[in-house]
Amino acid sequence: MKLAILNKPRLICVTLSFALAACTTSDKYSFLHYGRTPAANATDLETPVLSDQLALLYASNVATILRSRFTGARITREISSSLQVILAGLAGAGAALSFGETTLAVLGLGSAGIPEFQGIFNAKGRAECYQDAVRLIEEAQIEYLAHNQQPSPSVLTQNAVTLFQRVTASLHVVEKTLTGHLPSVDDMQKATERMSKRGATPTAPGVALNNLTANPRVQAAADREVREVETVSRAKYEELQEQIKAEQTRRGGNLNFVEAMRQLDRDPALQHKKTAVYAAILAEANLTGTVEPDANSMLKFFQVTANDDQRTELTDVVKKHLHP
Amino acid sequence: MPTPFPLAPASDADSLAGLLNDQELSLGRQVLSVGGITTGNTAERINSVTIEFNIDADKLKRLSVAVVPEGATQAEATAAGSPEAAQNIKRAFSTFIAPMLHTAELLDRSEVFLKSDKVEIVLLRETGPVAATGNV
Repeated sequence: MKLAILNKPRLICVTLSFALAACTTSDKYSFLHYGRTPAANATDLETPVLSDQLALLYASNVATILRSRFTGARITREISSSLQVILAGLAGAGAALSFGETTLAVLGLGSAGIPEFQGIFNAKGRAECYQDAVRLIEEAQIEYLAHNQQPSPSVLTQNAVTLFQRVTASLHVVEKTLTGHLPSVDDMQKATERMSKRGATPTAPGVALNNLTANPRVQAAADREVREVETVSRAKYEELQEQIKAEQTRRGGNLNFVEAMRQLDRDPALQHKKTAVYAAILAEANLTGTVEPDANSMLKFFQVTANDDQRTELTDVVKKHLHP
Repeated sequence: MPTPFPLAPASDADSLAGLLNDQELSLGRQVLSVGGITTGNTAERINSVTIEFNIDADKLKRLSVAVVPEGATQAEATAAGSPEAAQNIKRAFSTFIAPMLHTAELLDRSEVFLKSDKVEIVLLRETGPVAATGNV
C-alpha cells in the first residue's frame, strides 16, 4: 500500500484545515470586542477623540492581534508535533504497509527533523510570549473596568492613560523577548502599573493621580518643608493670649479704619494724588514723619503701633477725606 | 515686612480657613503663612498667622485649608523606618495634594492646632488652572 491510497484530495483538505486554523482568531470571545467594535462598512465613522473607550478598544484590538499570533504559533507547534508522531508511526509500520526503502527513509528523516524546525521557529517560546502579553493586557482591561464600569466616549482618565501605557509596555516586553532580550525592570513596572479609584475620575490636563505628575506645583509642594510647631516660653504664651484679647477689643476700630482706607484708596477721583492725600491726612493727625504716606504703612501703624487716641484721630481724619 | 498675629482657636480646617480669610477680607492683612505655638503644655496651644499689610488683600483669591491625612505627613516620613517607607509617605502626600493644586497654589505646609490637636495642614490659595509640563 502506498501513501497515495489515503486519497490525495482528502489528505490535502485535512492538511489545509489544520494549517488555515492558524489564521482564525478567538476574538469573538473577547468581551470588549464583542460589545463595541463598529461595523467595517459603517458610514458614520468619525475621527475618534482620545477617550477611555478608545483606550479600551485599542487594548482589546492589540490583545486580539496578539492572540491571533499566539494561536498561529500554538497551531504551528501542535501540527508539527502531530506530524512528527504520524510520520514516526508510518515509518514504524512501514513493513506492514509494504513501504519501499526510499519512502521509509523520507518518513524517518522527516520525523527526526521536525523538532529541529520547531527549534528554529521557537513556536513554543513565541506562543508563551504572546500568551503572557495577552494576559497582561486583559488584566489591565479588567482592572480598568473594576474601577469604572462606564468608560467615557469623550474623556480620557488617568486609568485609561495607565491602560494605554500597560498595553504599550506589554508590546515592548513581547518585542524584547522575541529578539532574545530580557525585558527591563522599567518595562515590567510599566506593564503592571496599578490603577486606582481616583484615577477613574475625569481630570483636567496636568493632574496626575496615579502616574508621574505633569503639574510642577505638585513637585514643589512635595519638596516644601513643613513648618513645625514653635515652642515658646510661658511668658511669651501669655503675651500672645493678651494680644488675642486686644485684637478682639480693637477689631471694630480696625474694621472701620480698613473700610474707610479702602474707600479712599479706590476713589477714582484720587488715583493720581493719593500720596498727597495721605500726606495731608497724616499732617492733620499730627503724624507726619511717623508714618509713610501710603495705605499699607498707615494700615500697619493703625493696627500695630498707634495708641487709642491716635487711632481715633486717624479714623476721623480719613473719614473727613472721603467723598460723600 | 511680615508681621505675626496670634489667632483665636479653630475647631477644624474650615474654621481656620475662615479666620485666615477674615484677615484678608476685613483687616487688610495678606496671609503669608500659619503655624502652631505651644509652651510644651498640652493645654497651652494656639495658632499664629504671619501677614503682610495689603489694602487690596480682599481682592485676592480665597484661602483654603486641608488637613494632610494620616500616612502622608512629614512627621511620619521623618519617623519612617526605611527610605522606601519614607518615599511611600511622600508619594502619598503628592497623591493627596495633586488634585487640589490644579486650581490652587500652596502657600504653606505646617503643623497647627485644631481643637488643640496637632495636625499637619496645607494652606492653599485658589488660582487659575496650572499649565501642565512634561508628559503624563
